[in-house]
Amino acid sequence: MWIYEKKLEIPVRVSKPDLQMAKFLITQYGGPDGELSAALRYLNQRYSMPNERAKALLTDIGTEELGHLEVIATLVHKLVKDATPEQMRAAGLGSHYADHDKALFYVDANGVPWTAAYIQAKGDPIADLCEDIAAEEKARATYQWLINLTDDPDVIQVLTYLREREVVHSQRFREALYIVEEFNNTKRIF
Amino acid sequence: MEYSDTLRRLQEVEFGLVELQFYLDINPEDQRAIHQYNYLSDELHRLKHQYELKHGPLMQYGFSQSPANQWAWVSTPWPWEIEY
Ligand SMILES: [Fe+2]
Repeated sequence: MWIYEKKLEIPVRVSKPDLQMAKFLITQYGGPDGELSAALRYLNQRYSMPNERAKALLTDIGTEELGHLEVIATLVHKLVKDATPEQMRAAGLGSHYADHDKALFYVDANGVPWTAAYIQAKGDPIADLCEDIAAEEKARATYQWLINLTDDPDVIQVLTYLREREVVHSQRFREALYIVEEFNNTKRIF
Repeated sequence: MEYSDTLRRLQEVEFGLVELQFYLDINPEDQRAIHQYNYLSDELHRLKHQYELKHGPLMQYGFSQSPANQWAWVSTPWPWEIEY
């Protein structure tokens, strides 16, 4: 069961409309290393995760990723909400407008729709935790590339926060991997 | 809709709790962290109550009470509509 809380994890502000930035940012909504991928990856891996601590961690990080999905959605929404069709067309969002108007959609920066092929579940705790660590590092790098693409201080503030969250997630997953490997090693000795 | 000080404080406390939650998942035997978690959890409930009296229910499905005279869930602003 999930309970919705009617608030964002952090305040989200933009200094000016920026359609091009919205086009880039949408990849963290529906792209391969985005927040939808992250939430669905972790929440789905829980059922076959044998380690108790890792199971709890997948639940809790997966839930925070859903909160980040809403942060990204709010950023994109605020960047595009006042745009005209002409402005969207000029910013390379004409094809998005044709299919979705200003609705958000789960696509990457090139407009390619989200697919389950972006995520993995091997059922092996070491394979899955390695996948999760790699996913966090890819998300961290994506946030850095997005920061490099804007000069809006308000947008940079939100993206920097999200980048740092990926660093924390990666660290916790590394600790979970260490615990699982330790357990496997002691099993072999005794 | 203006961003309120109570909401800012709520976000700060909840952030601390998210961090402690992950930490405790990995270190469930750390009693000092459990104590911190419960302390912040008390603070969170206090702040939520304070926020909801002024700005309406934060959570659905009975996890928040509604004001008696109106179903405020449909009329209070959504997170993406707030001017922070
Ligand atoms: Fe993450």
